Amino acid sequence: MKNKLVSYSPVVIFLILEVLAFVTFSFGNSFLLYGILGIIILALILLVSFKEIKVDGLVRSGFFIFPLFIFGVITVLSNCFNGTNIIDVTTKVFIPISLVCFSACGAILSLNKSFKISTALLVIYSTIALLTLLNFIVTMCQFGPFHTIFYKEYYMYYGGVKSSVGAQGMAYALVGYQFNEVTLGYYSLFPSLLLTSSIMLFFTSYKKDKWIFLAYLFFSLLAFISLLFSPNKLSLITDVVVLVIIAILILFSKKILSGKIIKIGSLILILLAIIGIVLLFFNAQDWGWLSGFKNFISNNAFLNKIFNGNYIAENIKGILNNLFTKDKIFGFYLSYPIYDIPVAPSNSWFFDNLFTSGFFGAIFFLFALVFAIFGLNKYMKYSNDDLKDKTLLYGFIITFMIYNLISGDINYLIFKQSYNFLFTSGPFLVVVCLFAYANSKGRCDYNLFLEKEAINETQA
Amino acid sequence: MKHKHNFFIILTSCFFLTSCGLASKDLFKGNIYNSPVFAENYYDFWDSQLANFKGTQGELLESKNLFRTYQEFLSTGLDQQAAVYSYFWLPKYYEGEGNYSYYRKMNSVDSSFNYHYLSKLYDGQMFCGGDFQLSRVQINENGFGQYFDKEGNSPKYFAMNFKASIDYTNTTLLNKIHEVDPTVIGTDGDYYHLSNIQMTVSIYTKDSEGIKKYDYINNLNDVKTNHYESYTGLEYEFFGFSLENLPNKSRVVGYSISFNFEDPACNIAKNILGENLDYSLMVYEVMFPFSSWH
Repeated sequence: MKNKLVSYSPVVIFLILEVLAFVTFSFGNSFLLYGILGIIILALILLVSFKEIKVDGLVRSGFFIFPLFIFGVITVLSNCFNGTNIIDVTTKVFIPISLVCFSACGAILSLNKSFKISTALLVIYSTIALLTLLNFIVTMCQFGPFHTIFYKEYYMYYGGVKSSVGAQGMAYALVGYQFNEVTLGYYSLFPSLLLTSSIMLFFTSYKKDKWIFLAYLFFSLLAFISLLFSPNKLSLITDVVVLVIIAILILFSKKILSGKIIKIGSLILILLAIIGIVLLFFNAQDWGWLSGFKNFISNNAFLNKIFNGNYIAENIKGILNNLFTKDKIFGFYLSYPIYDIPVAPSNSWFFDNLFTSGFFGAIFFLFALVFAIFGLNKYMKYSNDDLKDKTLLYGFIITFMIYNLISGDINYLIFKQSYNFLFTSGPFLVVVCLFAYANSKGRCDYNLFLEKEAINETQA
Repeated sequence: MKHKHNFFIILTSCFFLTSCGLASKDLFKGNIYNSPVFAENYYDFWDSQLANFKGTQGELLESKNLFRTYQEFLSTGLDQQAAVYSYFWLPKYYEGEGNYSYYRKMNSVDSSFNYHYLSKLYDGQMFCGGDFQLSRVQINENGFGQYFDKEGNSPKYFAMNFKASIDYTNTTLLNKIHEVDPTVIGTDGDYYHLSNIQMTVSIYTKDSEGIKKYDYINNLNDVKTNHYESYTGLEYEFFGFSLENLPNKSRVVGYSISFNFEDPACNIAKNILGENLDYSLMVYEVMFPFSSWH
């Protein structure tokens, strides 16, 4: 019986890849469906891989999965979701369930010999390419190329009212089963992710792997053209960041850039990020003793533009200013009682987690993320997966997280009220799965590496 | 070589997609038609499919069950259910059960009416409600013509809520008119005078031979005409008629509105004072109730 189950491994892997494609495509835009699929694929992979699961592996993965689960539970109980009908009760329950299922599935996939990360990445990128192509075609049909430049200050009318976003910030994307008007930030997410496929071109050649090379070349060109034909200030910033990430990854992988430089660079970035968050926090408060500091920022044109002079900064200020007032530590409200001050979500998952899940939920999410990044680094360094696959996976995950840190749009539908929370989006569940895979594989292969080192030392 | 050739043909043909620009035709500059200058707010756009019909005469049809007030409308029996709805006095942000326009607005009949600048006419807001230009479409005698995104099937009647208005921002000229004849334009607080309109509502249907135009021409006398912007609701006309005699009404593809007018204030301005006074219709809502769209 046990052998029979294991023999179904390739079939199960195929089904899981189909589900990953489905979820990446966000087909139907139904979080409930993703949750149910998550349970099914976890059950299937457990059936065929239970022999490979070890206790220490469970513990390692638990450091990533458990905080995610707690984050999910806190989110469900937060002010944002509790007592509102933004998401109904049955769907809310699937927030922690989906996070656990997809992350556990990713961790167990790393133990399954039938699973090839190169195939999974090809499936994921192909799906994103299809979605990008469809969105690109429809946007070009509706607006034409460079509409963000030609139709600046032009607006659509919907329901008798001028759109809140002008044509320069608008595009079309497949959401659910129809194409809708979406913000350019949401539209640009998929080509930005697809742009990371260019990493593969530095590791393969036309002669060696003709069809793989051509596929990834097509993905890269599609991403580039899609972004080129709808340029926007914010997406240009995110595109530059994506290209820098790709460049650093390639230089590091090819050992042109040393690990020390990466470490120092990362430390500097983390330090700058912490300083930035602290400054944002202080700038958002109304404490009298901060008036000198706040005046300094507002009197400096550049600093004022960053900290005060844009709607994202305003929304971040609103969240940070009210975070420790009343019950906001347990999350903000999407629809406000009259006596309360409305606070809008920011464009960044870092602050939106404070909004949707409260202070404690955001802390658990950060813990899971930090642990996963350490695991990802171990994966890059010690895993025996192909270097090109490791680099591609790293690029995909980091690009997704950084893109949504800068331009993660919750209110992405322009004419309809709908919320695209990070943790209910299909691509994020796939990222969670990949994170867990890399985390598990990296730590497992690191342990193998340590064992080998110990054996070599003994023999020496 | 052949594959490269085909590839470039496919690639080039993709760029022809860019000539579609379907949505870009419905983009409007910032605050268009929302100027403090009265004459800059005329919407006189005719969709290209109807442009050839502008200024032409279609087949004349009689306006049966004509109505000019909500009470007259109820008495026609065209909409039995409307009797339980309250008069559509409330502006759109108070819409809800019991409000006529809430149930008959076109964007609740089909979602395609949510799009375009003219979606203002299909959102159920029958009155200004303090929204001024944001809630209405201001037209001059040339009117406008809309070709629908979908074809309508068997609308039962046509209804339109509008008010007539002269350029109430031209207070200097209005004061001069008041001096010539105080009965035409009274003092402050006296919101309207009366004018006569010849309203032409044209319905366009499609058959195997193409698009056909049918005109419903009506002389509306003593139309309340604003000479002071207000939103009391008194100056509006709820105008309409039955479409029972419309041929081929299973394929209604568009409509247009145009008019001629006779206004005493404009006559004084032109004939006595030698100046031009703008006259317009402010259209708030247009309905084709009991229709289906495909």
